[in-house]
Amino acid sequence: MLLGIYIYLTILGIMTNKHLIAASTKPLVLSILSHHKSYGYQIIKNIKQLSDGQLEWSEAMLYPVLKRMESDRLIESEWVILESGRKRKYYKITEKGKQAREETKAQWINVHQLLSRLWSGNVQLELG
Amino acid sequence: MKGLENWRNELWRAGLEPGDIEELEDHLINRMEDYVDQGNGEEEAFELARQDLSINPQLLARAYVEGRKRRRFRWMSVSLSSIPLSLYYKVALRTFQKNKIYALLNVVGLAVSVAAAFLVGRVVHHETTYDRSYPDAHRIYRVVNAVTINGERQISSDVGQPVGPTLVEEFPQVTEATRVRRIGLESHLEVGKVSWVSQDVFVADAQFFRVFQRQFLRGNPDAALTEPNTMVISEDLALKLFGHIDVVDSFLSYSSVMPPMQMKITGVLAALDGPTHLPFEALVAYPTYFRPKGLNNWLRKSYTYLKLSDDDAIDRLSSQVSLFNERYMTPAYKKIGGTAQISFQPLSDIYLDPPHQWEPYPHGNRSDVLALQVLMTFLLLMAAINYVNLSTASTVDRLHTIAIKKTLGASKLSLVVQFLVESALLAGSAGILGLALAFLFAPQVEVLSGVKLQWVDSWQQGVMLVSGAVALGLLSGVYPGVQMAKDRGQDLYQRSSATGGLSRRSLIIFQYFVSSVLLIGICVVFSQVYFLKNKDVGFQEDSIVQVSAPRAAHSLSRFPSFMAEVGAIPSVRGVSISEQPLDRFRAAGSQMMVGPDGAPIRTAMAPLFVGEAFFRSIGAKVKTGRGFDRDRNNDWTFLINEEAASTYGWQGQELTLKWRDDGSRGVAKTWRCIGVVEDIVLGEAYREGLPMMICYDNKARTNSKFFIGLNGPNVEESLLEIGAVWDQHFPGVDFLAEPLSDRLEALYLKEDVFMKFLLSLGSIAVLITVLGIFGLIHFATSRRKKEIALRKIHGAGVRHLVKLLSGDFILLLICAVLGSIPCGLYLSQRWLASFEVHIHLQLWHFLAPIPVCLLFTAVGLYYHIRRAARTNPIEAIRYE
Repeated sequence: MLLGIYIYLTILGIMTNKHLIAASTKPLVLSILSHHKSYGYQIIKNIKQLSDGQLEWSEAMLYPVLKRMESDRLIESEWVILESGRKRKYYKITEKGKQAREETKAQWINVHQLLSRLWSGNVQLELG
Repeated sequence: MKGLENWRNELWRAGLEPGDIEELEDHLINRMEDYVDQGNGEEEAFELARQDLSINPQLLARAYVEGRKRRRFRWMSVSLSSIPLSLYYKVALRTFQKNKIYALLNVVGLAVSVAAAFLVGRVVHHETTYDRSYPDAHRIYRVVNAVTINGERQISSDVGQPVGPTLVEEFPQVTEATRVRRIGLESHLEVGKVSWVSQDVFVADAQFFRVFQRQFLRGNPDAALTEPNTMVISEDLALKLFGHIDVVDSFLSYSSVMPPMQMKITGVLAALDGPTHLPFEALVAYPTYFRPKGLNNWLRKSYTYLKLSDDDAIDRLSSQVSLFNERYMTPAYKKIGGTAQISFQPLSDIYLDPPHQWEPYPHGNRSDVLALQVLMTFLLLMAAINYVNLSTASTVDRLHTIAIKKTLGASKLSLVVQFLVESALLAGSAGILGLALAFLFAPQVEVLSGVKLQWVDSWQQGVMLVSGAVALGLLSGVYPGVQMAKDRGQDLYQRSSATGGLSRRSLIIFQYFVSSVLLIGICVVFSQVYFLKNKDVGFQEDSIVQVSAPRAAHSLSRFPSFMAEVGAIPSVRGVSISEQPLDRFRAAGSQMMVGPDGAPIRTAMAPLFVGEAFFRSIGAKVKTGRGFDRDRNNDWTFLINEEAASTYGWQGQELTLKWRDDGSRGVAKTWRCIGVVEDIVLGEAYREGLPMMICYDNKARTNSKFFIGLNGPNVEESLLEIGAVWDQHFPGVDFLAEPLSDRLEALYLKEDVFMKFLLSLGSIAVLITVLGIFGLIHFATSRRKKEIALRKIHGAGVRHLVKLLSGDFILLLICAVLGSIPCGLYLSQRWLASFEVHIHLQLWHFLAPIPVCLLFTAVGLYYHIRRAARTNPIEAIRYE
């Protein structure tokens, strides 16, 4: 019984978070990459640090997104050989990616402003 | 680290590609290092990191695959620099060594077709570039003249002397005009003891080199042809006669229709860069033959060429020429009861246009050139298809190698590059072999086409051929390469379809199809030429000798006694005389006849004027009435042929016919019909039966010909006897006898050449198909080696194996042959439509390709099945 509730809650949690995460991944990746080129592991770490541990991306989610963004030419990749001899795949933002970032930025700011206004309490809504 | 390796394999099995695995590996190690920093041991850290990452490898893999589907061509961006090109080369050589048979078939197929296409291309190029090497060739036009006399319209290639100069005077856009003509078919040129007989000597006026700019090695073009008894000769001729080219102001002896005269040489011409419709060796100055008075004669003709001021001048000129025709041509031709209209023919079109009357040289044929171009394209296409076929077939043999390469992390690009390097190597060797073949067969092609291929000494052509082959190889290598590289390693392992996919099947069908169409073409052309050559022409062409009469006027009186003596030789069936050759078609004229009912009727029959004993000497049968017998009065009599009798409905009443002639023989006279002769066909047997009237004219003329009909098989002996009589009557004149059948045979030269081309190109196409099919059968049998072994172990006989393996190919063959029938039918009908008389297409023309294609498929199958049947089955399955 307890296990059932636990599973239900987990799924519910994932479900509620999933859409938000999916919608925000792209702008977040683009914004991180516009600071500097980066690689998957570092991106996950950055997100975790910046969100104070609130947001933890999984590899299974990030890498396919990176792949899709690359095929959409929003970002591009290059292999860099490290001093240890290991290969690491770095991503950086493209011109098209910068454009896309500006567009999504405007949209997110709009949503953000709207929500801030709604939550501020001193808003007059026309009702019925 | 063993754990890391296992983890990698796990991802590989889940379907991830090497690049993705490396990326995740980096991730794993980063995470591992973090755990180590937190104070964990290495093994422990790896285990923790692995747990973090292996939440759901299947899900990970699927997400990756989803992402990959959307970027089909992105793999090209993978860097290549890590693999040296020499490695590709090494691998390619090893592959060839392993698959000798494929490499050989590929190289031979490509080489043969490239060489053939190259040679045909040279012929086509030669045929289509006539007269292009003259400067401003596009502004040069020839004046042609459409003359209608007695309702018979002929376009002649020459016009009256004043036409050119008058056009220059009347039209500002005509800047230059020149006249050229041949006087006497043969010219004799002599310097000391060196003599040369040429048919390529023309007479040209002083403006010639202003229209046709030519490079003078010696002498001055402006003053070259102004004085009588001067001439300009080609470099070749100068070397032939004098041995050097410093011959300006030297003299040579020249004679054609006039007695020998001494000519001063005023110029030596460099050879022209390309072919020309007027390939003269020497030009004689116009004043040598023409006095100023002769130049005013509108009926004395020359080839006349104009140079126009600019590119659009021709439109203005053509729109204004009708005025010129009215003013000058109509009055000039009124005198002889005809009309004439001049028009203009572009210089570079002359050679491929249908020949007009009195052309100086034979012409090419545009539709033959087109046919050759089509064949050339087909050959190249076949070569490419063959190449793709064999390459894909041989790569299937290498599926395992490729799969292993992929597993070890080979990028798609590197695989494609590997294929392309192999293609380039194969195609390069094919190109070099093709070049050798082209060199080897160039003389044969030159003999066959009668075209001098001007390429043997230029290396660019060779480079072109080899690079063409490489380009073709690379192009054809892209498809199998990409095909192989596209699939994932596991798929490659699993895929092993035996006869190949749909695309390869359709390629085989196409090859069979092309071969079959070509075979149909060969059958049809061959039957048509055979039919024409063996068509009953109504007379005994193979036993007639044509002898040109002596040209000298004083010999004319000896003709009757010569003919009488020759006629008395036992082996001579008859001897007759005529001005008109029997090997040339005669166009219909217009006659006013008086029919059986006494009413006049205008007819269009072809007239032929011949002497006594004509029908006996040519062996034509007189059906009604009589021929021109020696002991009867034949003056003003004629016979008609059966075609004329049936066309005009005179059957049974022919002998009452009359012809009101208003002066074709100098006087107005009424001729009477004395008989009907079987249809005789003059010239090429292309045309339908033509109504003819054969009229009596026994007069000796300098351009007469004797027709001597021979009995019995000993032509040479008879000719010796006739020659002896000739020498008594015409001492000092050469006895030139020519069998009529030879002259008639020569009329089919064009069809013969076309047939030979078709035959050789058809054989090459079939050869290529054979190579392709051979390779594919080899592939199919080797793919099924184990299956065959197992079947044999279970008691299958050779017959069973044949059925098993050949079924596919036979099916493809039948599809292709059936498909080729409509195409072959259409092309054959188009070709046959150019002949008035032609064969009817028969079923065997279309079914003939089946046994031929079956034969080579069967030979290929037999070889391979025998090999498969002979191997010990144990050998085949030992390694499983």
